[in-house]
Amino acid sequence: MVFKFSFEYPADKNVAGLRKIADKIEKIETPDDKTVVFTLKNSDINFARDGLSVMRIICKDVYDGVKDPTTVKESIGSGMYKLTEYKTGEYYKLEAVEDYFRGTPQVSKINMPIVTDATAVQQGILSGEFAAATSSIGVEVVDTFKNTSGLTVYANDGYAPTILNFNNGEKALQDVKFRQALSYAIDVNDICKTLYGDYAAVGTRGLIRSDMEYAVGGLEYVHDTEKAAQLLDELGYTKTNGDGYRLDKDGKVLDFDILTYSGNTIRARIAELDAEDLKEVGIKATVKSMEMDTVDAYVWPDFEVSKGRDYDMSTWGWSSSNTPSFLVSLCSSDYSIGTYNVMGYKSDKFDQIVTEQYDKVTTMEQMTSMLEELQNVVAEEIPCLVIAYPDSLQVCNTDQYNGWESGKGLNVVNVFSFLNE
Amino acid sequence: MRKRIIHYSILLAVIIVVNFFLPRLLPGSPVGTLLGDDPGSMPAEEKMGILAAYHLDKPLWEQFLLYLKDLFTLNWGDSYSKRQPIFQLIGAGVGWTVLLATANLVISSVVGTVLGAVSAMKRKKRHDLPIVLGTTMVSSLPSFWVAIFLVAIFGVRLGWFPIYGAYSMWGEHTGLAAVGDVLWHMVLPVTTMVITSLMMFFTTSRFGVLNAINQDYVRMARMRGIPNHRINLWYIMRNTMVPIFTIVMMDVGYLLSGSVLIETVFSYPGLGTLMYSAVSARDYPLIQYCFLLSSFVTILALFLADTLYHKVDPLMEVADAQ
Repeated sequence: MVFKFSFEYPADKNVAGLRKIADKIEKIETPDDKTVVFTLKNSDINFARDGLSVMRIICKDVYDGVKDPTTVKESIGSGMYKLTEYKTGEYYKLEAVEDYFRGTPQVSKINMPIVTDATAVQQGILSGEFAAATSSIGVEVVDTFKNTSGLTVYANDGYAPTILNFNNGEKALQDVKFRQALSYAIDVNDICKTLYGDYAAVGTRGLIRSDMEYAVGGLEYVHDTEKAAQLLDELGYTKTNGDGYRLDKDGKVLDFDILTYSGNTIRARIAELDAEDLKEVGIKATVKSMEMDTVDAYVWPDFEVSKGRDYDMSTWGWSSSNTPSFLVSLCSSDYSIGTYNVMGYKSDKFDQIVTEQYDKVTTMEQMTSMLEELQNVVAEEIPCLVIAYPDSLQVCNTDQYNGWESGKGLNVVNVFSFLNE
Repeated sequence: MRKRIIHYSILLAVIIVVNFFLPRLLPGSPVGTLLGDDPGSMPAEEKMGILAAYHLDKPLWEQFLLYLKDLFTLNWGDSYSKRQPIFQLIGAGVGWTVLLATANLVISSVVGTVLGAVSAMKRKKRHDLPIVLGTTMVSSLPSFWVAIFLVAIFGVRLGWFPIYGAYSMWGEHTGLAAVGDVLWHMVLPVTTMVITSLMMFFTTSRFGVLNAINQDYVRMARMRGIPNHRINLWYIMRNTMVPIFTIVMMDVGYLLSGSVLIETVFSYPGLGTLMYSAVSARDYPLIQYCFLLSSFVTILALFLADTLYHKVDPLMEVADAQ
């Protein structure tokens, strides 16, 4: 009953991520106490990973009839720690559940102060006040922490891509050949190496991390300024002004703004390096650094892609890309599926593959085949540039506690770090 | 007095109106805050439904009328981001901000005024230049840099002071121990604020003393043989206090809003941290009422300054009478 309730409850609640899972379900049946049968509205081979493993199991007695789940104060759940105290904006106090089904957790109490300033977090770890942090550290401070005794840096493959978005409906960016020219002009490999060193995987034209099981090989970015210039010449951008910037057919300079978050120095630097590379081929790009919500409002107004967009280019990122549905969500011009298509990318080829296959795949082989076709399309049409997949970098005080477990795409503050075995 | 009350009432009315429109001029909306994780995955119609539940789909003039009604019936509602009553959130934060800002005001005004007076009285002597240079240099440092520097040295390297919070969250202090704990946590943030706000009091005091030193009444007092310490205190400093009083009252006006950066760096749970997170989340009601409270305190400070000026400067009373 509780299990079934947990999947039905979010269907009309203001919790977007969980509501998305509930919306996929046609019906849930419980033929006996130990069996649950899900009937989905459409075929979805990712449901086990994206739905079953993500949904929270909640207490029916507490949540039944509650309109806004975020107002519930009782902390009843099935996890390994119990929330014993929470002070808004200040801290969380957790206590171990002694009879947790996987064994008593190794750490009996976890105190989590809420510290918003990244520098203060790093100073806290250096001073020993914090054993770990849920946030990552930047590449530039890795050596500082590595050289401090008692601290260990955990570096794991990251699946959150750092991207240079193009507004595919704006100015010259509408033209596929123009975007191809940009991909030749911008030295993605060099930018990735310069900013991340050994702590990132470089992006690919297929928009999928190259070590994923369904990634297509041979889709690396090629830096070739002569090729870029040739493509721009073929498009008719042959005239230049006194500063060497190319002019369009109306005599205006090819001039683009690159929006970037003011609080993210790495992305700001990516934008600057992109602008330098574009200048080499006669394209003017101006970096505009703005507060995060302001950039979001231009790139993804109200988090609704159907509302359009108001930018030329922007540095951007997604929290993960390791689900098979990522590429479809990112590039489909059917906004009910392409919910992350902030580029306004529209491709008949891409959409046709999605329409014919996406809802019909029932095996991983079929999914892989579809994804390979899609990657080849986007590799050709360049809706955006994936600069890098930065590693997840976290630092922990292993003198205080050495049970930390990390892994691909996994924060060190996770269940496995506290399990007894 | 009646005229003054009318002027300030008009000012308050303008602020009430501006406070409504100001958050809504910011690019973006509270959609992301209201929808939680993965807001992009929700269909557009469902998103609009959620906005409608908070009256955010209504025309601005309707939202404004609702805001006025809620404001004057003291029904300030819940914060979009914290999901708690705004009264409760502001009430919890105001005390810490007032504590921090008052400590800063008292210390920086006393230290700055004394340093400025000493510098002026020792003008062109051995102590003057180091005081002027030192104060100028230190006060020109950006506050966030000073904060990080103090944290790195006194918090991390030496371990003398805590680097976050207003009190020890994991301990159980009571009575005097609790007071001591709070004071201990205040050292670094207050030091940062004092360092960066010293200059104003220093320069005003120095200029005021230099001005007063050369006045005839001071020369007359020396000729009459009045002791130096009495001249310094009752003849020079008494007349220097008028502009100092002005700055103090201006700073009282900034009591609730002047420590946003410091509170954020030190994770101090005051109104500054609350305002910062409210703006980041586009939490309209929380922004509105935080700003309104802060504006109200500023107006109150100006009103008090206007009213108390006569006590500080008797010449004002004579001028008014004339």
